[in-house]
Amino acid sequence: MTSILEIRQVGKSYGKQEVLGGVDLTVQAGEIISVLGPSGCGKSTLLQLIAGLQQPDRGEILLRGKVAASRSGMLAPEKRGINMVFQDYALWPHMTVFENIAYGMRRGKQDQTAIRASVAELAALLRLEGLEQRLPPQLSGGQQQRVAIARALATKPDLMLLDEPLSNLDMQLRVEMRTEMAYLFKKLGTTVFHVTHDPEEAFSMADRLVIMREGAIDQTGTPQQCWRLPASASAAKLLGAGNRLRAMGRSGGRVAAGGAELAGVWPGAPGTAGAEGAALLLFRPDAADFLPRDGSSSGDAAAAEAAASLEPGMEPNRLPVHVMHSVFEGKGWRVLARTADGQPLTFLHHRPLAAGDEGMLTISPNDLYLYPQQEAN
Amino acid sequence: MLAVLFVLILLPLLAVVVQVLFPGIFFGTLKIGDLSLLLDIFRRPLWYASLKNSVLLGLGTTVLATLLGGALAFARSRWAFRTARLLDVSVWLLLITPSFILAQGWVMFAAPDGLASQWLGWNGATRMVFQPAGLIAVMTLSKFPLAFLTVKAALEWRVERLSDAARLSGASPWTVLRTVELPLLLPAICSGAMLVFMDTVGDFGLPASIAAVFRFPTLPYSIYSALYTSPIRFDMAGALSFYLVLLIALAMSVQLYAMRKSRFDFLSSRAVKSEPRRPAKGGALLALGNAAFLAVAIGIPLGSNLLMSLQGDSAGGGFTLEHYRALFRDGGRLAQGLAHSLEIALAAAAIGLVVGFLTAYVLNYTRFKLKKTIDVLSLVSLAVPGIVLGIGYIFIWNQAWLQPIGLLLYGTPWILALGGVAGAIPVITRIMAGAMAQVPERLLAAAQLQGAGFSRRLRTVLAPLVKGALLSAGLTAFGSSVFDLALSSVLYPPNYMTLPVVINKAFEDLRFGYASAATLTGAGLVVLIILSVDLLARGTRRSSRRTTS
Repeated sequence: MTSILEIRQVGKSYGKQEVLGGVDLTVQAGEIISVLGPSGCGKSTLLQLIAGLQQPDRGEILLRGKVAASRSGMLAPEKRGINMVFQDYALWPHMTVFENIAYGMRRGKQDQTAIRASVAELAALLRLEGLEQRLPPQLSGGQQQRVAIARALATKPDLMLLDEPLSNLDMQLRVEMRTEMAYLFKKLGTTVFHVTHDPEEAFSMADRLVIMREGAIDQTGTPQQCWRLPASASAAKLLGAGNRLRAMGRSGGRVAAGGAELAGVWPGAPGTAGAEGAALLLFRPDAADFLPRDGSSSGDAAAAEAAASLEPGMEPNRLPVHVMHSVFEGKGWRVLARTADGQPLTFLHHRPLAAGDEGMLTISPNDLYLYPQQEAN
Repeated sequence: MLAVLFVLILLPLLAVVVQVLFPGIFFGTLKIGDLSLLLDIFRRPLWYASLKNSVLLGLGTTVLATLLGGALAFARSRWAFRTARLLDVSVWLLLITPSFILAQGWVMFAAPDGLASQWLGWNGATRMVFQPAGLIAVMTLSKFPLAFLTVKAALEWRVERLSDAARLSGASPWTVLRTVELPLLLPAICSGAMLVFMDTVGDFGLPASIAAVFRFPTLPYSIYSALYTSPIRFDMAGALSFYLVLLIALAMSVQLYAMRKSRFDFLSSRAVKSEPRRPAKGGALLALGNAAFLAVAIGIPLGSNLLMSLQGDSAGGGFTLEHYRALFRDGGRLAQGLAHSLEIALAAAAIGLVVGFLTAYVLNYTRFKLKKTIDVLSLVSLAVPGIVLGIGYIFIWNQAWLQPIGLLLYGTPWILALGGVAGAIPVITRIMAGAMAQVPERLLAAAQLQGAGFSRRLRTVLAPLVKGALLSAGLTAFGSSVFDLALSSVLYPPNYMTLPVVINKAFEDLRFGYASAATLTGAGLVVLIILSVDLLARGTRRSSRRTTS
């Protein structure tokens, strides 16, 4: 495989604030990379540096093996063979859909017939037929988005940059468009560098996920790998493990938390597993099952199910909780509860629980992520 | 409210049009369908020359001032350089200085035996300035601020992504400017150009001042001549005014058309405030060029006034305060004119504030059916030249049947006050409407729910919230009314000279020293009044804030 993009030790600061601190990353031809991170993690700056809209303070960016940007110089954006779909699409309001799409081809000195044919082809590909003579404000959000993609594809870029391309769409359209985009880029074999803060969007698009935090890369891997074993507490939180309990490491890799002794996985750096001392415990709300204290049959069934999915000899964890409140969410109920030592957490349940109910949460050790305290900080 | 606007602004305008289409309707015998006077513009050489000169001056200035103002705005918002603040200040100074004062400065500079030849030994200035191209250049240097401010306002927020997207599609910076940035600026450029055009063709100050040394009749000046050379011909002044109104209406429709065709709401939440950057090279050159330009554009007209007011009459006579002393001798004509102007301006600002405040209220907070009409009316009235308004006032307030009911206002100071109010209303309305747009209706609704009646809501909620705007609107109206040459030249009653008329008369008599001393004294006094009122108001505001906290 040929590498399209190589980022070597790239750093960038705004004044005294370091936004990127020595990032390394390689993107192969045809690969779709999704960079996921909370706002302020440096992902948009990284995108700007690749596009040539900003210059790195240190390190190098190579495109097709040639240096495109370093501290000492940089290639103009129009000479990089890159194109981009912007968050707000940045369609030129004074040009029709046709002119927007054809703009880049005209810069490439193609003849009129060829341009018309290419635009027609792109319009068909992105279901924009009949809209060519409209102005951007006359289009719906989804249509504007597709024009922006068509415009970026029109220059046949080596690398396509996507800057949170779905964040301006409503929930349903977002789900439709991300499936459509993933299919389109795979079909065309486009190399894509995609930046988002929405995990679902990243999962549905990415061949490889890059999770960023505070100007550095936290984890890279397939979406499934990252989902199963988030490398840090912040990655776990980003990937939906919203419950976070203070814990204390015990021998044998187990921890004491919320008034119980629990087993879990230590996905962090090698050597940190089983460390004794302050630790953090994270799990997703849907990873826990509630078992009422009165021992009703539904709770028993859940416990039996949890135990059955475990490897032989492995016991599901039991965490005593005190219910505070239940909220209906359509598919089920989200329950707010407290552990025996007063730490808040939420879990999902198929029926509402009354405030004051007592019970146990059963959680598989595979779904409990443990991190040493200092790493989490 | 509508009636007030109608009587003060629309009626005089209508009168000008009606009297041209139905000659004699106000004076003499009515001749329906007789348009011969209107067609006289092609028969009378002076009229034809006036129309031609107005169009030439208007178009030439529009092109040059738009280019100059646009380029300066672009440079100012893109690059940070020394003397940039000086440009901002100068632009405002040029904008608020009455055009006759600027023109006077240029005349004093370039006239035969003027400052250029006296001080610099440069005799070519006369030939260069006193010819059509020279006058266009002078006008350009006075009117470019209108284009500068509109284009600069449009450049204040940039959607950089639109340019970035073009770069990534393979366009060079120059292509981006040509294909994306300039087309998006077109509405602003167009607005600026039309403002320049309307202000130039309606300008009375320049032709009135130039007339002292060079013959260059324009429509406003010929209107004035028709009124002040015997036999007095109101009908002719009306016919010429009609053409002036026509030119302005034409310009306004071009602008409205352009705005409708090319209005892009491209500002999104991603727009960033554009910060001027230090240019990679040539920063010093930029600063120096700017300073040199300002020395010409503002240094010559204002400097000439200052120098002339201090220079003795005998050639090379050194500096003297003689002209300033003369102002208050010979019966104190200046002091009287100044007092009259201040009276009129005070009345205009006070009445204008009440009407303008209420008009802005109607525009912002009511669902009044004729709201749109009021809005258009107040906008149109901004573009009506003072000289046309003056003629309209003569038609309306100089009719015999008004005498028995005591409303024959022409020939009394009242008509000046009314004219001043009419001039003040549009400006005050615009400023107040802008301020009220920031006060949400629900603040007033909340007061209403507490039981506050209409006037109480205005007094206790709205007025305190827009106090700053009220102050600046009143002061702006006051300042511009004091120096309104066009309106007071046409309307001043016998024995009731105003400050601009006194200055202009002295200038016409080639008493440059006296005229410039009067200009500076009057301007100094007005600035002093405005500053002290402003300071006083700020002071009370600050102390009231302290007592509430």
